[in-house]
Amino acid sequence: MRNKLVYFSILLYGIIIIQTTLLDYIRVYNVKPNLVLIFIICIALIRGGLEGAFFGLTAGLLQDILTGNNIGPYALMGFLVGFSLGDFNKRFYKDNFFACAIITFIVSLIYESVFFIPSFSFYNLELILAIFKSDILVETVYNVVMSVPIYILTLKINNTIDIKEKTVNKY
Amino acid sequence: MSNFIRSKWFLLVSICLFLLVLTGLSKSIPIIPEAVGRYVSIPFAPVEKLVTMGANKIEDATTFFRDIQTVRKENEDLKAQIDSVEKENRELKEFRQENKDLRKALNIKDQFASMEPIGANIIAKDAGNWFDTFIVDRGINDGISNDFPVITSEGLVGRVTQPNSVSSKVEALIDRNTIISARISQKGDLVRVKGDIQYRDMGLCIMDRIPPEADIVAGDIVETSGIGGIYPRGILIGKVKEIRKSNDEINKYAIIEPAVDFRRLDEVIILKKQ
Repeated sequence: MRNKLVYFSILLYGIIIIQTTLLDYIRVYNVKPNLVLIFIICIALIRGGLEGAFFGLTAGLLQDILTGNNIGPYALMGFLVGFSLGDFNKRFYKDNFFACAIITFIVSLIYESVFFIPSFSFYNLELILAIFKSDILVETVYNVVMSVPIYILTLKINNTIDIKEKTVNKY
Repeated sequence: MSNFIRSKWFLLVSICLFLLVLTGLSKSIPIIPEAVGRYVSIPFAPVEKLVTMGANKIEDATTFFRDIQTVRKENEDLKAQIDSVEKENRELKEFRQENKDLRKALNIKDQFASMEPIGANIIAKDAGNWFDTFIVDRGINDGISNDFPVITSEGLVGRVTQPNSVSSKVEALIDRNTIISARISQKGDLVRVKGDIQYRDMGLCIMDRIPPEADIVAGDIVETSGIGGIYPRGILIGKVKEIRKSNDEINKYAIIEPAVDFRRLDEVIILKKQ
Protein backbone atom coordinates (compact mmCIF):
# COMPACT_ATOMS: atom_id res chain seq x y z
CA MET A 1 0.00 0.00 0.00
CA ARG A 2 2.75 2.39 1.00
CA ASN A 3 4.70 1.46 -2.12
CA LYS A 4 1.71 2.17 -4.31
CA LEU A 5 1.19 5.58 -2.75
CA VAL A 6 4.85 6.50 -3.33
CA TYR A 7 4.69 5.35 -6.98
CA PHE A 8 1.46 7.27 -7.59
CA SER A 9 2.80 10.43 -5.96
CA ILE A 10 6.00 10.39 -8.04
CA LEU A 11 3.97 9.71 -11.19
CA LEU A 12 1.55 12.55 -10.41
CA TYR A 13 4.37 14.99 -9.66
CA GLY A 14 6.07 14.12 -12.95
CA ILE A 15 2.88 14.44 -14.99
CA ILE A 16 1.98 17.84 -13.56
CA ILE A 17 5.50 19.15 -14.24
CA ILE A 18 5.44 17.84 -17.84
CA GLN A 19 1.90 19.12 -18.43
CA THR A 20 2.77 22.67 -17.37
CA THR A 21 6.21 22.89 -18.99
CA LEU A 22 7.29 20.53 -21.79
CA LEU A 23 3.92 20.02 -23.48
CA ASP A 24 3.92 23.66 -24.58
CA TYR A 25 6.78 22.83 -26.93
CA ILE A 26 4.82 20.12 -28.75
CA ARG A 27 1.60 21.99 -29.43
CA VAL A 28 -0.28 20.93 -32.57
CA TYR A 29 -2.58 23.63 -34.04
CA ASN A 30 -1.83 25.57 -30.86
CA VAL A 31 -3.38 22.82 -28.71
CA LYS A 32 -1.58 20.60 -26.23
CA PRO A 33 -2.75 17.16 -25.10
CA ASN A 34 -4.18 16.65 -21.63
CA LEU A 35 -1.69 14.24 -20.06
CA VAL A 36 -3.36 14.44 -16.66
CA LEU A 37 -6.72 13.31 -18.07
CA ILE A 38 -5.12 10.44 -20.01
CA PHE A 39 -3.39 9.17 -16.86
CA ILE A 40 -6.61 9.38 -14.86
CA ILE A 41 -8.33 7.27 -17.53
CA CYS A 42 -5.48 4.73 -17.67
CA ILE A 43 -5.29 4.33 -13.90
CA ALA A 44 -9.07 3.99 -13.57
CA LEU A 45 -9.10 1.34 -16.30
CA ILE A 46 -6.18 -0.62 -14.91
CA ARG A 47 -6.59 -0.26 -11.14
CA GLY A 48 -10.34 0.26 -10.83
CA GLY A 49 -12.73 3.03 -9.92
CA LEU A 50 -11.69 3.75 -6.35
CA GLU A 51 -8.04 4.33 -7.15
CA GLY A 52 -8.97 6.09 -10.40
CA ALA A 53 -11.30 8.44 -8.51
CA PHE A 54 -8.67 9.11 -5.83
CA PHE A 55 -5.97 9.79 -8.45
CA GLY A 56 -8.37 11.99 -10.47
CA LEU A 57 -9.32 13.97 -7.38
CA THR A 58 -5.71 14.58 -6.31
CA ALA A 59 -4.50 15.38 -9.82
CA GLY A 60 -7.43 17.75 -10.36
CA LEU A 61 -6.86 19.49 -7.02
CA LEU A 62 -3.19 20.06 -7.88
CA GLN A 63 -4.18 21.43 -11.31
CA ASP A 64 -6.68 23.80 -9.66
CA ILE A 65 -4.22 25.00 -7.05
CA LEU A 66 -1.21 25.39 -9.32
CA THR A 67 -2.68 26.86 -12.49
CA GLY A 68 -6.46 27.16 -12.12
CA ASN A 69 -8.58 30.14 -11.18
CA ASN A 70 -10.64 28.43 -8.46
CA ILE A 71 -10.14 25.31 -6.38
CA GLY A 72 -12.66 22.66 -7.36
CA PRO A 73 -13.58 22.41 -11.07
CA TYR A 74 -10.67 20.24 -12.27
CA ALA A 75 -10.81 18.18 -9.06
CA LEU A 76 -14.52 17.50 -9.57
CA MET A 77 -14.05 16.51 -13.20
CA GLY A 78 -11.03 14.33 -12.42
CA PHE A 79 -12.90 12.59 -9.63
CA LEU A 80 -15.97 11.96 -11.81
CA VAL A 81 -13.86 10.58 -14.70
CA GLY A 82 -12.00 8.17 -12.40
CA PHE A 83 -15.18 7.13 -10.62
CA SER A 84 -17.31 6.57 -13.72
CA LEU A 85 -14.68 4.43 -15.46
CA GLY A 86 -14.41 2.14 -12.44
CA ASP A 87 -16.79 -0.52 -13.77
CA PHE A 88 -15.11 -0.71 -17.16
CA ASN A 89 -11.94 -2.29 -15.85
CA LYS A 90 -13.69 -5.60 -15.18
CA ARG A 91 -15.23 -5.76 -18.62
CA PHE A 92 -12.23 -6.06 -20.91
CA TYR A 93 -8.73 -7.49 -21.00
CA LYS A 94 -6.13 -5.17 -19.57
CA ASP A 95 -3.85 -5.63 -22.58
CA ASN A 96 -6.51 -4.20 -24.85
CA PHE A 97 -5.24 -0.68 -25.48
CA PHE A 98 -7.77 -0.18 -28.26
CA ALA A 99 -10.52 0.07 -25.62
CA CYS A 100 -8.45 2.72 -23.82
CA ALA A 101 -8.20 4.77 -27.03
CA ILE A 102 -11.98 4.66 -27.57
CA ILE A 103 -12.71 5.59 -23.96
CA THR A 104 -10.15 8.44 -24.14
CA PHE A 105 -11.95 9.74 -27.23
CA ILE A 106 -15.36 9.81 -25.55
CA VAL A 107 -14.14 11.10 -22.18
CA SER A 108 -11.97 13.88 -23.73
CA LEU A 109 -14.92 15.12 -25.80
CA ILE A 110 -17.16 15.34 -22.74
CA TYR A 111 -14.43 16.66 -20.38
CA GLU A 112 -13.36 19.54 -22.61
CA SER A 113 -16.94 20.40 -23.59
CA VAL A 114 -17.86 20.82 -19.92
CA PHE A 115 -15.18 23.51 -19.52
CA PHE A 116 -16.44 25.23 -22.66
CA ILE A 117 -20.15 25.25 -21.72
CA PRO A 118 -19.92 28.37 -19.44
CA SER A 119 -18.91 30.40 -22.50
CA PHE A 120 -21.87 29.29 -24.65
CA SER A 121 -23.97 32.33 -23.83
CA PHE A 122 -21.41 34.67 -25.44
CA TYR A 123 -21.38 33.02 -28.86
CA ASN A 124 -23.74 32.00 -31.62
CA LEU A 125 -24.00 28.41 -32.84
CA GLU A 126 -21.65 28.93 -35.77
CA LEU A 127 -18.84 30.16 -33.52
CA ILE A 128 -19.43 27.44 -30.95
CA LEU A 129 -19.02 24.81 -33.67
CA ALA A 130 -15.88 26.52 -34.97
CA ILE A 131 -14.26 26.58 -31.52
CA PHE A 132 -15.41 23.01 -30.95
CA LYS A 133 -13.59 21.96 -34.10
CA SER A 134 -10.44 24.01 -33.61
CA ASP A 135 -9.94 23.30 -29.90
CA ILE A 136 -11.93 20.37 -28.53
CA LEU A 137 -11.71 18.05 -31.51
CA VAL A 138 -7.99 18.65 -32.06
CA GLU A 139 -7.25 18.02 -28.39
CA THR A 140 -9.41 14.89 -28.38
CA VAL A 141 -7.54 13.41 -31.34
CA TYR A 142 -4.21 14.38 -29.78
CA ASN A 143 -5.25 12.72 -26.50
CA VAL A 144 -6.26 9.52 -28.30
CA VAL A 145 -2.88 9.34 -30.07
CA MET A 146 -1.03 9.89 -26.77
CA SER A 147 -3.26 7.50 -24.81
CA VAL A 148 -1.87 4.29 -26.37
CA PRO A 149 1.80 4.71 -25.32
CA ILE A 150 0.73 6.09 -21.93
CA TYR A 151 -1.61 3.15 -21.38
CA ILE A 152 1.20 0.70 -22.13
CA LEU A 153 3.52 2.63 -19.79
CA THR A 154 0.94 2.68 -16.98
CA LEU A 155 0.36 -1.05 -17.44
CA LYS A 156 4.11 -1.68 -17.06
CA ILE A 157 4.28 0.46 -13.90
CA ASN A 158 1.23 -1.34 -12.56
CA ASN A 159 2.79 -4.76 -13.14
CA THR A 160 5.97 -3.64 -11.36
CA ILE A 161 3.93 -2.51 -8.34
CA ASP A 162 1.96 -5.78 -8.32
CA ILE A 163 5.07 -7.94 -8.47
CA LYS A 164 6.76 -5.95 -5.71
CA GLU A 165 3.70 -6.17 -3.48
CA LYS A 166 3.44 -9.90 -4.03
CA THR A 167 7.07 -10.46 -3.07
CA VAL A 168 6.60 -8.30 0.03
CA ASN A 169 3.48 -10.26 1.01
CA LYS A 170 5.36 -13.56 0.67
CA TYR A 171 7.56 -12.90 3.64
CA MET B 1 -30.43 4.36 4.94
CA SER B 2 -27.34 2.92 6.61
CA ASN B 3 -26.78 0.82 3.46
CA PHE B 4 -26.79 3.98 1.38
CA ILE B 5 -24.24 5.66 3.66
CA ARG B 6 -21.90 2.73 3.19
CA SER B 7 -22.41 2.54 -0.59
CA LYS B 8 -20.12 4.11 -3.17
CA TRP B 9 -22.93 6.41 -4.31
CA PHE B 10 -22.85 8.16 -0.97
CA LEU B 11 -19.12 8.73 -1.44
CA LEU B 12 -19.78 10.08 -4.95
CA VAL B 13 -22.50 12.49 -3.88
CA SER B 14 -20.68 13.76 -0.79
CA ILE B 15 -17.35 14.39 -2.57
CA CYS B 16 -19.11 16.12 -5.49
CA LEU B 17 -21.06 18.34 -3.10
CA PHE B 18 -17.90 19.14 -1.17
CA LEU B 19 -16.04 20.12 -4.36
CA LEU B 20 -18.94 22.27 -5.58
CA VAL B 21 -19.01 24.12 -2.26
CA LEU B 22 -15.21 24.47 -2.41
CA THR B 23 -15.44 25.99 -5.90
CA GLY B 24 -18.01 28.51 -4.71
CA LEU B 25 -16.04 29.36 -1.58
CA SER B 26 -12.73 29.82 -3.41
CA LYS B 27 -14.49 32.10 -5.88
CA SER B 28 -16.03 34.33 -3.22
CA ILE B 29 -13.17 34.16 -0.70
CA PRO B 30 -9.92 34.55 -2.70
CA ILE B 31 -7.83 34.06 0.45
CA ILE B 32 -8.51 30.31 0.33
CA PRO B 33 -6.80 29.54 -3.03
CA GLU B 34 -4.05 32.02 -2.15
CA ALA B 35 -3.26 30.40 1.18
CA VAL B 36 -3.28 26.87 -0.27
CA GLY B 37 -1.35 27.79 -3.42
CA ARG B 38 1.38 29.55 -1.48
CA TYR B 39 2.66 26.30 0.01
CA VAL B 40 1.63 23.68 -2.57
CA SER B 41 3.56 25.50 -5.31
CA ILE B 42 6.88 25.36 -3.41
CA PRO B 43 7.95 21.82 -4.47
CA PHE B 44 6.86 22.45 -8.07
CA ALA B 45 8.38 25.86 -8.90
CA PRO B 46 12.14 24.97 -8.79
CA VAL B 47 11.70 21.84 -10.93
CA GLU B 48 9.46 23.66 -13.38
CA LYS B 49 12.08 26.38 -13.67
CA LEU B 50 14.82 23.84 -14.32
CA VAL B 51 12.79 21.95 -16.95
CA THR B 52 11.72 25.11 -18.79
CA MET B 53 15.25 26.51 -18.79
CA GLY B 54 16.55 23.20 -20.18
CA ALA B 55 13.85 23.06 -22.84
CA ASN B 56 14.55 26.68 -23.86
CA LYS B 57 18.26 25.88 -24.21
CA ILE B 58 17.51 22.86 -26.42
CA GLU B 59 15.10 24.93 -28.51
CA ASP B 60 17.75 27.63 -28.95
CA ALA B 61 20.34 25.03 -29.98
CA THR B 62 18.10 23.44 -32.61
CA THR B 63 17.24 26.75 -34.21
CA PHE B 64 20.85 28.01 -34.06
CA PHE B 65 21.97 26.86 -37.52
CA ARG B 66 18.76 27.88 -39.21
CA ASP B 67 19.10 31.31 -37.65
CA ILE B 68 22.62 31.98 -38.96
CA GLN B 69 21.49 32.78 -42.48
CA THR B 70 18.69 35.05 -41.37
CA VAL B 71 20.98 36.74 -38.87
CA ARG B 72 23.54 37.56 -41.60
CA LYS B 73 20.92 39.24 -43.75
CA GLU B 74 19.38 40.96 -40.77
CA ASN B 75 22.80 42.29 -39.79
CA GLU B 76 23.21 44.05 -43.11
CA ASP B 77 19.76 45.56 -42.90
CA LEU B 78 20.33 46.69 -39.34
CA LYS B 79 23.62 48.40 -40.18
CA ALA B 80 21.76 50.42 -42.76
CA GLN B 81 19.13 51.33 -40.22
CA ILE B 82 21.56 52.48 -37.53
CA ASP B 83 22.37 55.81 -39.17
CA SER B 84 18.80 56.95 -39.46
CA VAL B 85 17.97 55.68 -35.98
CA GLU B 86 20.89 57.56 -34.43
CA LYS B 87 19.64 60.78 -35.89
CA GLU B 88 16.15 60.05 -34.60
CA ASN B 89 17.57 59.18 -31.20
CA ARG B 90 19.24 62.57 -30.86
CA GLU B 91 15.94 64.26 -31.62
CA LEU B 92 14.07 62.06 -29.17
CA LYS B 93 16.52 62.87 -26.39
CA GLU B 94 15.70 66.52 -26.88
CA PHE B 95 11.99 65.69 -26.78
CA ARG B 96 12.42 63.69 -23.59
CA GLN B 97 14.00 66.59 -21.81
CA GLU B 98 11.32 68.89 -23.12
CA ASN B 99 8.61 66.45 -22.02
CA LYS B 100 10.14 66.23 -18.55
CA ASP B 101 10.23 70.00 -18.21
CA LEU B 102 6.65 70.38 -19.42
CA ARG B 103 5.39 67.65 -17.09
CA LYS B 104 7.13 69.37 -14.23
CA ALA B 105 5.54 72.64 -15.23
CA LEU B 106 2.08 71.08 -15.44
CA ASN B 107 2.64 69.02 -12.27
CA ILE B 108 1.56 65.71 -13.86
CA LYS B 109 2.11 62.81 -11.52
CA ASP B 110 4.20 60.09 -13.12
CA GLN B 111 2.51 56.80 -12.25
CA PHE B 112 5.59 54.80 -13.18
CA ALA B 113 7.85 56.70 -10.81
CA SER B 114 6.52 54.86 -7.77
CA MET B 115 6.98 51.44 -9.36
CA GLU B 116 10.02 49.23 -9.24
CA PRO B 117 10.56 46.88 -12.19
CA ILE B 118 11.43 43.27 -11.28
CA GLY B 119 12.59 40.84 -13.96
CA ALA B 120 11.00 37.36 -13.96
CA ASN B 121 11.19 34.17 -16.04
CA ILE B 122 8.14 32.22 -17.15
CA ILE B 123 8.58 28.74 -15.69
CA ALA B 124 5.26 27.03 -16.44
CA LYS B 125 2.04 27.48 -18.39
CA ASP B 126 -1.59 26.63 -17.67
CA ALA B 127 -2.25 22.88 -17.55
CA GLY B 128 -5.23 22.99 -19.91
CA ASN B 129 -6.06 24.70 -23.18
CA TRP B 130 -8.84 27.00 -22.01
CA PHE B 131 -6.99 29.68 -20.06
CA ASP B 132 -3.93 31.79 -20.68
CA THR B 133 -2.27 31.91 -17.33
CA PHE B 134 1.35 31.21 -16.61
CA ILE B 135 3.70 30.88 -13.66
CA VAL B 136 6.71 33.16 -13.13
CA ASP B 137 9.65 32.56 -10.80
CA ARG B 138 9.04 35.52 -8.47
CA GLY B 139 6.76 35.40 -5.48
CA ILE B 140 5.86 36.89 -2.11
CA ASN B 141 9.52 36.49 -1.05
CA ASP B 142 10.45 39.04 -3.74
CA GLY B 143 7.72 41.41 -2.62
CA ILE B 144 5.20 40.45 -5.31
CA SER B 145 1.56 40.98 -4.46
CA ASN B 146 -1.85 40.59 -6.10
CA ASP B 147 -2.72 42.76 -9.14
CA PHE B 148 0.83 43.92 -9.90
CA PRO B 149 1.03 44.77 -13.63
CA VAL B 150 3.23 42.53 -15.78
CA ILE B 151 4.88 43.98 -18.89
CA THR B 152 7.75 43.45 -21.31
CA SER B 153 9.76 46.07 -23.18
CA GLU B 154 7.16 45.75 -25.96
CA GLY B 155 4.02 46.33 -23.93
CA LEU B 156 1.45 44.97 -21.51
CA VAL B 157 1.41 41.23 -20.67
CA GLY B 158 -1.19 41.03 -17.89
CA ARG B 159 -1.35 41.06 -14.10
CA VAL B 160 -0.41 38.92 -11.13
CA THR B 161 -3.53 37.04 -9.99
CA GLN B 162 -2.04 34.91 -7.24
CA PRO B 163 1.36 35.35 -5.62
CA ASN B 164 2.85 32.21 -4.04
CA SER B 165 5.98 31.97 -1.90
CA VAL B 166 8.55 31.54 -4.65
CA SER B 167 6.37 31.80 -7.78
CA SER B 168 3.30 33.73 -8.97
CA LYS B 169 0.36 33.10 -11.22
CA VAL B 170 0.00 35.67 -14.00
CA GLU B 171 -3.15 36.15 -16.08
CA ALA B 172 -2.32 37.13 -19.65
CA LEU B 173 -4.07 39.97 -21.44
CA ILE B 174 -5.57 37.46 -23.93
CA ASP B 175 -7.10 35.23 -21.22
CA ARG B 176 -10.89 35.05 -21.43
CA ASN B 177 -11.26 36.45 -17.89
CA THR B 178 -9.23 39.59 -18.51
CA ILE B 179 -10.91 42.98 -18.79
CA ILE B 180 -8.81 46.13 -19.04
CA SER B 181 -9.85 49.75 -19.25
CA ALA B 182 -8.02 51.26 -22.21
CA ARG B 183 -7.85 54.35 -24.35
CA ILE B 184 -6.94 55.10 -27.91
CA SER B 185 -3.68 57.05 -27.90
CA GLN B 186 -3.82 60.47 -29.49
CA LYS B 187 -7.64 60.34 -29.85
CA GLY B 188 -8.31 59.74 -26.14
CA ASP B 189 -11.50 57.66 -26.52
CA LEU B 190 -12.06 55.33 -23.56
CA VAL B 191 -12.67 51.69 -24.48
CA ARG B 192 -12.52 48.24 -22.92
CA VAL B 193 -10.05 45.54 -23.96
CA LYS B 194 -10.81 41.93 -23.08
CA GLY B 195 -9.68 38.42 -23.85
CA ASP B 196 -11.77 36.17 -26.07
CA ILE B 197 -11.71 32.39 -26.57
CA GLN B 198 -12.10 32.72 -30.30
CA TYR B 199 -9.11 35.02 -30.93
CA ARG B 200 -6.84 33.88 -28.11
CA ASP B 201 -5.37 31.04 -30.18
CA MET B 202 -4.07 33.61 -32.66
CA GLY B 203 -2.66 35.72 -29.83
CA LEU B 204 -5.30 38.44 -30.32
CA CYS B 205 -7.93 40.04 -28.08
CA ILE B 206 -10.94 42.26 -28.64
CA MET B 207 -11.90 45.84 -27.82
CA ASP B 208 -15.51 46.82 -27.13
CA ARG B 209 -17.55 49.59 -25.47
CA ILE B 210 -16.40 51.81 -28.32
CA PRO B 211 -18.19 55.18 -28.10
CA PRO B 212 -20.48 55.62 -31.18
CA GLU B 213 -18.88 58.92 -32.07
CA ALA B 214 -15.33 57.60 -31.85
CA ASP B 215 -13.46 57.58 -35.11
CA ILE B 216 -11.32 54.49 -34.86
CA VAL B 217 -9.38 53.05 -37.78
CA ALA B 218 -7.16 50.03 -38.19
CA GLY B 219 -3.64 50.80 -36.99
CA ASP B 220 -4.72 52.99 -34.05
CA ILE B 221 -2.60 52.46 -30.96
CA VAL B 222 -4.35 51.24 -27.80
CA GLU B 223 -2.88 51.82 -24.33
CA THR B 224 -3.98 51.42 -20.72
CA SER B 225 -6.17 54.23 -19.44
CA GLY B 226 -5.04 54.15 -15.80
CA ILE B 227 -8.65 53.77 -14.67
CA GLY B 228 -9.28 50.92 -12.26
CA GLY B 229 -6.08 51.26 -10.29
CA ILE B 230 -4.31 48.11 -11.49
CA TYR B 231 -2.41 49.31 -14.54
CA PRO B 232 -0.71 52.70 -14.64
CA ARG B 233 -1.75 54.91 -17.52
CA GLY B 234 0.08 54.70 -20.81
CA ILE B 235 1.28 51.10 -21.06
CA LEU B 236 1.09 50.02 -24.69
CA ILE B 237 -1.48 47.24 -25.23
CA GLY B 238 -1.35 46.90 -29.00
CA LYS B 239 -2.89 48.22 -32.18
CA VAL B 240 -6.28 47.91 -33.83
CA LYS B 241 -6.20 45.19 -36.46
CA GLU B 242 -9.75 45.20 -37.69
CA ILE B 243 -13.09 46.83 -36.85
CA ARG B 244 -16.28 44.76 -36.92
CA LYS B 245 -19.97 45.32 -36.34
CA SER B 246 -21.50 43.27 -33.52
CA ASN B 247 -24.60 41.13 -34.04
CA ASP B 248 -27.03 43.89 -33.15
CA GLU B 249 -25.58 46.06 -35.99
CA ILE B 250 -25.48 49.11 -33.71
CA ASN B 251 -22.36 48.59 -31.69
CA LYS B 252 -18.98 47.81 -33.05
CA TYR B 253 -15.98 46.02 -31.67
CA ALA B 254 -12.38 45.78 -32.81
CA ILE B 255 -9.79 43.07 -32.90
CA ILE B 256 -6.58 44.10 -31.18
CA GLU B 257 -3.17 42.77 -31.99
CA PRO B 258 -1.20 42.95 -28.72
CA ALA B 259 2.28 44.45 -28.88
CA VAL B 260 3.54 41.41 -26.99
CA ASP B 261 3.87 38.12 -28.87
CA PHE B 262 2.40 35.67 -26.35
CA ARG B 263 3.67 32.63 -28.22
CA ARG B 264 7.30 33.67 -27.76
CA LEU B 265 7.29 34.91 -24.23
CA ASP B 266 10.10 33.75 -21.90
CA GLU B 267 10.88 36.76 -19.73
CA VAL B 268 8.66 39.46 -18.29
CA ILE B 269 8.90 42.49 -16.00
CA ILE B 270 6.67 42.79 -12.95
CA LEU B 271 5.95 46.35 -11.83
CA LYS B 272 6.20 46.37 -8.05
CA LYS B 273 4.03 49.02 -6.44
CA GLN B 274 5.57 50.73 -3.45
